[in-house]
Amino acid sequence: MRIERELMRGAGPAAVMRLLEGGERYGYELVKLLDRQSGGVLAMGQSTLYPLLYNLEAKGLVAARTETSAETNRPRKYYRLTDKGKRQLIRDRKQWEALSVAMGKLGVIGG
Amino acid sequence: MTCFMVNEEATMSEATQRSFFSRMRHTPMRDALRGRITGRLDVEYRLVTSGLPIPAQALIRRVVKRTRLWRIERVEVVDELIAHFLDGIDAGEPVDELIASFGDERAAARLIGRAKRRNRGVVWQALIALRWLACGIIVFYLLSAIYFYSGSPSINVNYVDRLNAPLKDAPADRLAWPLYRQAIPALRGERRINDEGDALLDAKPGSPYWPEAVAWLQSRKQAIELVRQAAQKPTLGFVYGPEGSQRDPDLWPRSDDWKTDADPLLADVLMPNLQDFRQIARVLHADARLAREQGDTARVMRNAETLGKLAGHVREGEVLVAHLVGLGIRHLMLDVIEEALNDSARNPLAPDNLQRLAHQLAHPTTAAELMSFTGDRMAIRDIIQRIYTDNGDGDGRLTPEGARLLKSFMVSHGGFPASWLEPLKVALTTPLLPVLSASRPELTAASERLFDIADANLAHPMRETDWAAYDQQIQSWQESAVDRIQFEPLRQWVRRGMIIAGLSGAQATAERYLGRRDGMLVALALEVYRQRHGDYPSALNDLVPALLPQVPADRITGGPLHYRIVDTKALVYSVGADRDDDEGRPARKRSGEPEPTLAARWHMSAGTAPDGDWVLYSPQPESE
Repeated sequence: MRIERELMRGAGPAAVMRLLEGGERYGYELVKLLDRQSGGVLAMGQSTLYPLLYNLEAKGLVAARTETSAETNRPRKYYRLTDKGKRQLIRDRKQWEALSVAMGKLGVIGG
Repeated sequence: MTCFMVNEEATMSEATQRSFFSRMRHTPMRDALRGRITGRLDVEYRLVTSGLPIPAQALIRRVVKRTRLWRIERVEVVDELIAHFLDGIDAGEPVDELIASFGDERAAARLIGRAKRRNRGVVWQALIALRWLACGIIVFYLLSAIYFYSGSPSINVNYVDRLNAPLKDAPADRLAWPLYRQAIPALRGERRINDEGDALLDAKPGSPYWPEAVAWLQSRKQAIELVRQAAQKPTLGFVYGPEGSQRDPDLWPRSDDWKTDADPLLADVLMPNLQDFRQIARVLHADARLAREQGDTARVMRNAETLGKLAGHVREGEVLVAHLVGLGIRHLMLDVIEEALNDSARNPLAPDNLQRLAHQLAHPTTAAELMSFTGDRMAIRDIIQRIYTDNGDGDGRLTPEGARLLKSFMVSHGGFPASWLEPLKVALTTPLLPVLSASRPELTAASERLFDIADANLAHPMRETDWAAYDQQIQSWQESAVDRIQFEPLRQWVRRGMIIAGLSGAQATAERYLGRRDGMLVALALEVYRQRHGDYPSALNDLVPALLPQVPADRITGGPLHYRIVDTKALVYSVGADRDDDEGRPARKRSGEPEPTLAARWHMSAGTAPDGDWVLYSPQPESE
């Protein structure tokens, strides 16, 4: 199932930040993890992921570094969660939990 | 497709073999300054050397091109997208699937471009904000200009007609103007007798010019009599406006050239008759002097009475300037009476004459009876209707015609600097006037509030008035930049110095007349008492109630007027602005010359007030 754009706009950043909580990751890796760990629900293409990452970067929630792989001799950009991003993720998590509970109570989910 | 592939390969071949100039062209300035020709901004080179299949290269090329990012940002995006595709290929994904899962190209370009721009520095963000601000200002300016230039005033009220309204049903035989009009030509033409501004009718008995003055007056007996008859009429009957009584080439030969707007501005209405009324009053004053010389007390009495009635006629003009001319005429009437009293040793005034004069002077008693600001209030309302639009509910905005009218005030009253930049400034700011200036209701409310304060004050003696709120309002228009812009129309009126700014001063002028009149009433009563008892009373209270209903109040303190005998003559005075009894000694000007009315000031602290009294009646011998 694909999530509608409006919902994705709210869920996408939180999902990406959650994946970065475990350590730094690069773009393709994030695409694959989102697809796999969300069972395809939050799967997003490059056209969605990279603008999302650049926006998080502009807000100071993630930081990036470029490293050239010794193996492939290719530059690759790695993203990690900043302290500000960690605090934001805590807030987002609480809000999603509250939202989830509320939607459950309303019978929108879990019914 | 084959053709495309061939072209792409050709491009790749060219791109992989970069010339020095090509690398130079794609080298950042920073690298070039360090002597390194890196060519690292060459997106095409990066793509063709990436090892990506051509469809993937083409996709990235299209997306990056559409982002409209800086070259350095494009390189970052290209590198990341290349890495993404290569990672996918390394993971065994077919290129077609990777391209299919990329998403909407256009949306990607738009979102990537927007997101990358958010990462730009503060200076760039500030410049963009400034650009938006500038755009906003331009849009706002254009909208204001449309708003401004689409407005036009609607003149709904003809205030000149309102000024003339009392004449509408007045019968012709009750109108004084036709008689004054006949007399006026004969009463003009008085010649100057010296360089100090004195004219023939200023000559007094004993002066070398007196015989000529007498001849001048005697040759105009009929005209003077006509004036006396005119003064008996209840209504002046001067019709104001370009097509009214002012259009009279026999009286004013250039009146055909005067401005003749079909719908004239009330403030521009001419009152050429005022100058002639002033001259008539001078003639009556001089004729009273001649009458005393001739022992003709009845003529003195008639001239004094005529001056009072003439002042009443002038007052019908309803605008401040007419009221001020009327007050001047009333002062001449007091001069006639004062001179007659001072001459009582030679030409004693009979008690019934003294009583008649006292009755004539008994009214008016307040400034509100001597003047009103009705005409001036109408003049401002007239201005407002000519500069604002009217939505029918009293609201409106400034119009181009209104701006032109205001500009004409500024130009004609020196408020429009001649700097070469000024026309440009005016051209640029004019369309903003409706936004910057006060709205019609705001301006109306501000002017009405001022006139309300003025009218309320006019009903009270000057000592009980409060002009502070009025003065503060006027002051704020001069000092506050915001108010100055917002209330420019009223401010221009203030600059003109004709209306509004002079209202408190006008009341003080009226109050000075009333004070002098009070003194004259006391002097008349004192003369009657002297004639009855052979001497003056010991105190003014002795005149009450037989000769005065009460002792008039000192118009500065509110206490009783003061009186004393100087050289067997009565002197009546107010203690003046310093509120200190100086035994009738008048305050002196800086030159040291005594000035009887210098101390007639209100709302001054005793410390700043001139030292001396306000002399209301002084039995000075008439001197040349």
